[in-house]
Amino acid sequence: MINNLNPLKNYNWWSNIDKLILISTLLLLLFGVISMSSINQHFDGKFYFSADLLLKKHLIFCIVGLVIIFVLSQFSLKHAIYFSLFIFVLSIVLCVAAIFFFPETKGANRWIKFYNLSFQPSELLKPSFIVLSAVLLGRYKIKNDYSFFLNILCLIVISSLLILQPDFGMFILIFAVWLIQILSSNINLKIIIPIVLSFILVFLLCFFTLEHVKFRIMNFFFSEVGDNYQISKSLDSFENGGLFGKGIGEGTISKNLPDVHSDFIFALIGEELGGLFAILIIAVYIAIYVRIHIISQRSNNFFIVTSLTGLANIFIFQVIINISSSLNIIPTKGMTLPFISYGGSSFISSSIIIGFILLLIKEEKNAK
Amino acid sequence: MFKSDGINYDNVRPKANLLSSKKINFHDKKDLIKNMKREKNLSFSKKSNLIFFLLCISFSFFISFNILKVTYKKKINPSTVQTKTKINRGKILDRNNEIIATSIDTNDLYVDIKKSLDKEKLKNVLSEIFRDKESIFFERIFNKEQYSLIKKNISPTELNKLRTVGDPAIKLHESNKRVYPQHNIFSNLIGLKTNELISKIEKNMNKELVEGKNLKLTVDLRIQNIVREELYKSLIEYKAKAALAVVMNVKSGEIFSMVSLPDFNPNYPESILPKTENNLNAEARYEMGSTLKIFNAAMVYESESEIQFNEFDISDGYQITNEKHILDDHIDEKILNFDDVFIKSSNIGSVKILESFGPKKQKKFFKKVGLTENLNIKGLNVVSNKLPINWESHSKFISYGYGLSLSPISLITAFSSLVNGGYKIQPLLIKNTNNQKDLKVFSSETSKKINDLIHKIVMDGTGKKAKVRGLLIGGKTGTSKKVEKGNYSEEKKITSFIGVFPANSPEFLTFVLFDEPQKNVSNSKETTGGNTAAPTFSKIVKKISPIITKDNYTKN
Repeated sequence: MINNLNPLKNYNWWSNIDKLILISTLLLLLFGVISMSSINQHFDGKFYFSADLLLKKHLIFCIVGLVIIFVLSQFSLKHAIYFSLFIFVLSIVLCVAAIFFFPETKGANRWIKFYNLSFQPSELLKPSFIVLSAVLLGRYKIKNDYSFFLNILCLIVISSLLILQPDFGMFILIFAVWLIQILSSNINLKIIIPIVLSFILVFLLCFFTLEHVKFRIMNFFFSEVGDNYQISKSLDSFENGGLFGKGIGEGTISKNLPDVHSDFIFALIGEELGGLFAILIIAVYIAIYVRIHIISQRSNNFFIVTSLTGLANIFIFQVIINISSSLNIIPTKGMTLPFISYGGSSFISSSIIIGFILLLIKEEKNAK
Repeated sequence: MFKSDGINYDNVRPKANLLSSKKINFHDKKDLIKNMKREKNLSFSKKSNLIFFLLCISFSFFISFNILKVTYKKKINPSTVQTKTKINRGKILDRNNEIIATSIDTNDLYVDIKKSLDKEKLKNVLSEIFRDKESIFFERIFNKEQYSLIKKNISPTELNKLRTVGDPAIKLHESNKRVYPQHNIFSNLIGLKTNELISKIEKNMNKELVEGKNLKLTVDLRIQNIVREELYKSLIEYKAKAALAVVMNVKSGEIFSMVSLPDFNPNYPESILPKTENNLNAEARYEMGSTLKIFNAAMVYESESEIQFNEFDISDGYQITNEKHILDDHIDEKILNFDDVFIKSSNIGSVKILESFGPKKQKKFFKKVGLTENLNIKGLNVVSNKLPINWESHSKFISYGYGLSLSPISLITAFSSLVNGGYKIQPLLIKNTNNQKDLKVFSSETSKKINDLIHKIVMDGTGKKAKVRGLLIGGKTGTSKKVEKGNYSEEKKITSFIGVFPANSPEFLTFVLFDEPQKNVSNSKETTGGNTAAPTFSKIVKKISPIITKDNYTKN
């Protein structure tokens, strides 16, 4: 076992990497490029984009994402944790900057802007916080010291930043994944119950103070409260596409759907590629998820189990929330579909998640 | 397995000052990260992870199932998307191709506020154009900064005003709207179609209309207009609660006019009240009263019974049941012959005629005429007639028109067979859907005798006020008391007149009915079919007869 100090083993990147996850990710990237090239023809000029800018930008994101995955998966555990600590602190600083120093866009202070590039730092919080939380939990299980309260402190800081922005969906996402981590770490119920209660309190507060949260939830349950233009268009797209789709570039309804390139990309896929293909895409996501879980069930390292499942959950939750919103199963929440939607921040964040996952799986294999 | 000698690069040993807390000490001899093999913790963690894993997977299956459901729906109805965008809903026309209902192209107005050049200006302009919207409405939309609907089906004037604004935030979506150029005239017959509502012919014939086919009806705009106008005048004059009228060809069954008052304007769906929305001709039923007596006469003629030469003593009244004793107060004579029973409309005479036949024959006869079966007319919603549960005990009441609730259209259909030579007919509302066979249910003799009898009723009997100069009219009045709190009311009545012309060989039938008329033309205390419905019949027929006797209104 000392052999895993052998540097040669780590340099053999291809034999150590999990091929299923890597290939699935590449497939998703391909679907994303296909959808984006279809939207591209339609968006030309509409959003003051110069020709092909949307597709060009998306291709750049793809390359950046692949580089991130490649580099991260070569890291060692130790470096990965240092790295996540680094981006955690960085993104918190940037979030604060976004709230106080940058102008409001679309009614929220989520973005920081340099020239034409805008970036959403809260996307980076997701993977880094989950990894750090797994570290702290692991420590708490052994030593029973203050690390758990440090964990809660981190969560409070993140939550208050996200609600101030406001980015309610991201808050729910991070909290849900964190709660699952806590629940599966066998923490004393006396600690968990107050956490859940205070979450409910925060939720109710948000419901009554944040106008758009209330609007969306009311709109979902009592559809006459407002116009649900996006949702009805999205469902129309699926209906129009049928089981086999209209063909790439033939979609008409989804092209007129606001935010089709980011939050409602799945409606475009439904219309152009068809319902069966849409299910195939879900199957690709599920394949990644199942693979991660099988490996985590085999592992006997608490940190790897907790962080792997946490990252897998955050990944699949994003998929589920996005797809369910576009099918009107849950209230609308603007959340991107990993690797398919347009958007640099979410692309980088998803790449970090997959990079971490590949790294953890590699370490798990090497440990045996 | 792992030695904490500081060489193992897998170990993480953050310095204490990194997290600026002295309590938290990452430097740990026990190999924090790699060596946490607490079996108990691990197995618990794995088990609970498995639960969440299964939850996620099953939710994904749920989503996939939803996708299948949404996308598979399209297979069943492949034309939905195309009809929405391309085919306009078909027109509804009368028999002379006058437009009753049509669709026009309009626009729905949306705003995409994010794209606006000058939000304040846009808000002011919009609230200027759409003054009926409250200012809080715009306030809310402009605060939301979303893609929002302002108004559906905007008018051309509004559209022109919007075009002069020139703001990229204004988005127009193509749409269309159903309009009814005749306003109230056909409302209870056609119904209406808006984005949310659909009723009557628009609903029943929706399949054809959606495909873009025009629908040609047998009704005539001119006749319908005359009938509605006269009926409306009478409704006001008699202070009645409701009124209805039908004009029909007794041989082909074509309906030329069908009016039900009060009615509504289908262009303004918000103004529809519950009492105005029904087509009383088909969607209501009444105890018709004396009009049904004519079926007794037909029964006698058809069986060629000797009773038509008898005389009837009506002076003492008639004890039907222990509680019910009827009198004919309105008749001065004490002895009536067979024809007089109908001309004077004697209840006692009718019961006595029935006595010699019995309830079974009566029921059989009613079945033959078609009063017991459900009418099925394309485009109309016809309620079924309410028959007594126990025919035997009610048969005497039925002989003078009580105990049996009929929809006006079914009475008219049955009556047509009596006068048209004995053929059963099927009422027609939609042109070229005629598939009826000539089914003879009476002999021509019976029909001829009935025609003579109803002509006499108009000449000398209760229907005198139905006369029209220059036309031979035959008809029968009807007056019945309404049931109120379980008893027959003396005040509230249904008065009706069913008449045909020309009486020697009837072609056309007109039926008029008033619900709770309070006044009448002769200013007498008794309100009857003879002094309410009959005069209205006369006015209607006088005006429509020149139009209706043209060639294309008769059969063949």
